Amino acid sequence: MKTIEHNIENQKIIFDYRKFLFWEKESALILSDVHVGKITHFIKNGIPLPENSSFSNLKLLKSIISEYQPQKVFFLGDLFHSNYNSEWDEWLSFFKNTSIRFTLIKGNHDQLNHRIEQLNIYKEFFLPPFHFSHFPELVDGKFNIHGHIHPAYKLTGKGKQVLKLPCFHICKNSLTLPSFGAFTGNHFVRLENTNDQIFILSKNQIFKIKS
Amino acid sequence: MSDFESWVTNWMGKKNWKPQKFQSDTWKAVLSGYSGLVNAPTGSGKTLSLLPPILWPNKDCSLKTNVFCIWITPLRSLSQQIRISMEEFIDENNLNLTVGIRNGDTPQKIRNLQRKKFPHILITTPESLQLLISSKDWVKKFSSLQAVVVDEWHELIGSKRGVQTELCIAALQNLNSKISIWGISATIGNLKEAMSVLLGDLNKNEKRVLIQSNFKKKITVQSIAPKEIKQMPWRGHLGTNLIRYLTPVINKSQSTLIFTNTRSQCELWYQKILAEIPELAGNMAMHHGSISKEIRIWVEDSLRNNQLKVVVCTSSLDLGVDFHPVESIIQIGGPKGVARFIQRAGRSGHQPNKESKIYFLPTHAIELIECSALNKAVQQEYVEQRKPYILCFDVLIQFLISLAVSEGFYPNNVLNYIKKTHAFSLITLQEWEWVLKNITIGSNSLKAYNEYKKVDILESGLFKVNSRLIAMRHRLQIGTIVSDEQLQIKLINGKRIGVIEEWFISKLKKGEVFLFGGQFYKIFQIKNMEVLVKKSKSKKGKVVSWMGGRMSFSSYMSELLRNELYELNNPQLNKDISPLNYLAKIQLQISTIPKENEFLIESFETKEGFHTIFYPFEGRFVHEALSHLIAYRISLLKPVTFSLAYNDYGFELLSDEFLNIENILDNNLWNESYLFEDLNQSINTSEMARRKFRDIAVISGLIFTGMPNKRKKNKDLQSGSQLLFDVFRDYEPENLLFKQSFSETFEYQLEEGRLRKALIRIQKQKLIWKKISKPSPFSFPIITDRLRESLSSEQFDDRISKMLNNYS
Repeated sequence: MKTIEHNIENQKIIFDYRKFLFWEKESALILSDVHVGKITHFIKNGIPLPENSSFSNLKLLKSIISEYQPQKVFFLGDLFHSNYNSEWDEWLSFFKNTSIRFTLIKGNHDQLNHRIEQLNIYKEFFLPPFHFSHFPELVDGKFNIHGHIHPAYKLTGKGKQVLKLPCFHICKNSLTLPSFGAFTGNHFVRLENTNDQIFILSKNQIFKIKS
Repeated sequence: MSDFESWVTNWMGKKNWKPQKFQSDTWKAVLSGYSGLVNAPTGSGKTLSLLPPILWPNKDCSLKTNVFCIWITPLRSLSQQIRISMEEFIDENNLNLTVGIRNGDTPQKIRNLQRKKFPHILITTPESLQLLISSKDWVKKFSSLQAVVVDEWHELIGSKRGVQTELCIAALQNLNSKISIWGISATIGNLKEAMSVLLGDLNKNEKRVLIQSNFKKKITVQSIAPKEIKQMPWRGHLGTNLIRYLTPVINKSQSTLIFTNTRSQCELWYQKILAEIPELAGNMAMHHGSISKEIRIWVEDSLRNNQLKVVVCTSSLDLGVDFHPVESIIQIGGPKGVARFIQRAGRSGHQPNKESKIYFLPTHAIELIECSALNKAVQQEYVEQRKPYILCFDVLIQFLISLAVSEGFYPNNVLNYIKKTHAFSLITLQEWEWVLKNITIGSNSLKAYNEYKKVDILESGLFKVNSRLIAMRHRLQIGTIVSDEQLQIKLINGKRIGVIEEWFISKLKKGEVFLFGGQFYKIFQIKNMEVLVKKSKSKKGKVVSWMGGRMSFSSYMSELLRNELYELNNPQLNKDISPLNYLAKIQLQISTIPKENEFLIESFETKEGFHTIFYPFEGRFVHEALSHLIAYRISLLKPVTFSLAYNDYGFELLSDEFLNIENILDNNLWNESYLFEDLNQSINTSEMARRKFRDIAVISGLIFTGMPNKRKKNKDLQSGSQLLFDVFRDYEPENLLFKQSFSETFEYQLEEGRLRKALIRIQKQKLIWKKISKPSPFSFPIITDRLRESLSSEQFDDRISKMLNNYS
């Protein structure tokens, strides 16, 4: 499967194997923890990494946008890894040259010392029925969609097989997004409650873990 | 007799000592300007073979003279001991000379004094020496250097610390080519090579000499295994249920040193012994590398002063420190190598001509075979070689940045002298240029990386680090021993207890109890890289564990082991391994014991899946490689996924379906041709190179480990080596550091040469395939090993689907 359709709070949400959500009613693409500028930040600080490795994130996002044609894109925090560096430039010119509305929730990495006019920046926001944030936050029992955690799942099989894969994690009143960025780490999560859902992601597919 | 000789022998005479031949030979060689290697065991007076002739030309020198001798030791704990014996010689000869220590334990006050003026003799470690080279004025400070001595060179040569030492020595020699270089080494299988690695490969005709002491020590090995094999566990490596067999040895000895193989084993045994013999409370201590310096020094001093009856320790007490009073040595579990075992045995009966006795307690049944093999090895006095590392670009990058941080360097000059080292004698011009580009423009492409900042090239052509931040980060990270992130353990009142690895503490919560240094502690708070604890009266808690590399049998040890094993088929068993009869009987009942011309494969099913066990008896490292190679070759025949496990005896391929060996064996499974290609393929799909890459990434500065014990961890500059590995694999596979992770895997982990020999041997053997209904005694330690790797030829998404089906 490439996508899984799942209803949350009576809203149809599409979960895509490329680590983002599509909320049909709002025509919104939702993704988190891109960490733009991470590679260049390392290079700037004397850690020689291959420079061309930083281009893939934007290329991927552009192709997703042309496929889904969203009106809005929500970044749930940590869009930028650190202070402004040259890696931002392509993103900034991309923001400028499209009619899509971009919204960013400020994450712990987003220093935002560089003004970006096309970006609507919030600490958190409520768009019924969802409360969007970077950190997990439960507010008045509203369903929370957030990032920050970089969740991943350890899949085990017969013969002591283990695979570690990024995942979407739905737990009670919250949904955690995997990190969209290609050069980021992860944190392992488990199925804790009977109603929890975990969708694991490979390079080509999305799978549902049966609880 | 020369003036010098009468001077020294006169002094020795007052102590009723007589110069030994290796000492007087070394004196002559040093005084005639030779460099070389002294092969002498601990306790034989090796320091006295080098110290007096180095002091002789300086005995009238004034306090103003700068450092003339650098004495490098691999372990900080040895420094104190060496200084005491040096000062004894200096004081009793009324010399006006100073001895000082510079290492990670040196307090800031003394560092400040040393900044103004070094002592005449500086005792240091490879890491601290490189740090000194990365500080300003090092050229001036070392300008009057005459000699460099590397103590316990055998401990350094087989590691990257050896390469680091070679580079530092080359830099010092570049200041003054007349500096003489001396090493001191215990017996290893390649002493001549050890000398030429230390002194450099070029100029072989210069004055150099290998001096060996004829100091022979009688060593007896005694097994203290249970009389009946039924009491032996079949697996595991802790063996604490065998404690009662230790009690008689401890009781009858004045003092006992108990060697364990890991730090957590050390902690466990300490508890168990205390529970078994409560009278020992107050007379027993523990010594391992993570315990705080103060406690370690206290244990060492108490041992020396005969104030402790029992010390449980790890390899942290393997090295030099002299303990005359130790009466008995106990080794718990297989020591994996003959040299290590002999060194440990040498901790007792330390005086020349006194017999050393070592008791061996096997922790599981099969180790009984090891005991007998070790005994033979000790009698034949065979010890392993230590293979020197070459072309470590990570260490070279670290060294070059050290030079650039202090006074800067001119590439041609440095290339000239590093080519004289053994490690870099084969460096190509291309590789050298790659390294220079890496530290200056950050890439091998012609275009400089955007904003890359590390080493600048000044107009004069000098390579120099100008950024204070880069310099500070670099100094914090000098060294080639890579460990997991360490946290300090402190009592609430601030007293330091030791260090613990972050991954272990991250599994514990506030209020939980753990065992460390023989005491239970309750976690009060974890903050700022510190774990604050309170002593706990609890009798239960998690035993601290550490990720350390596991050791492998040397090839000689493996051969001895195979021979012992073949004898199990032979009724004439010697007394030492007779308890093995029971084990042999069960092994023969369930499966079989291979003869010299046979190769055993066992297959059986458990709820975990289908186990196939191969028994080459070639040591852990060879089995690691063989398991990948064979798994890969089988996976070419059909889509399959294996989980791999291995120990010193054999390896396991665990799969979710039955493996019909008869169908597979015809396919040239053991062929030694295409070895390199097939291994390369199998390693590409495995974790081995990734693990090597972690060390390389840290040493070369790709991973910034943060300020030790500092609040600010520079989180935005941290990344896992796994991520970096993927970045290089996908975007810059020609990167020399990335490539080095593969060449290290081949050379040092997989031991390609040994592997090839093993394959040729196996091809000549008759394969015996036993389909058995339950695990055999031989298979037990392997199938219960939790450290596993995997190899698969199935489609990734198919594997996921298959595994997901298990979940419903």
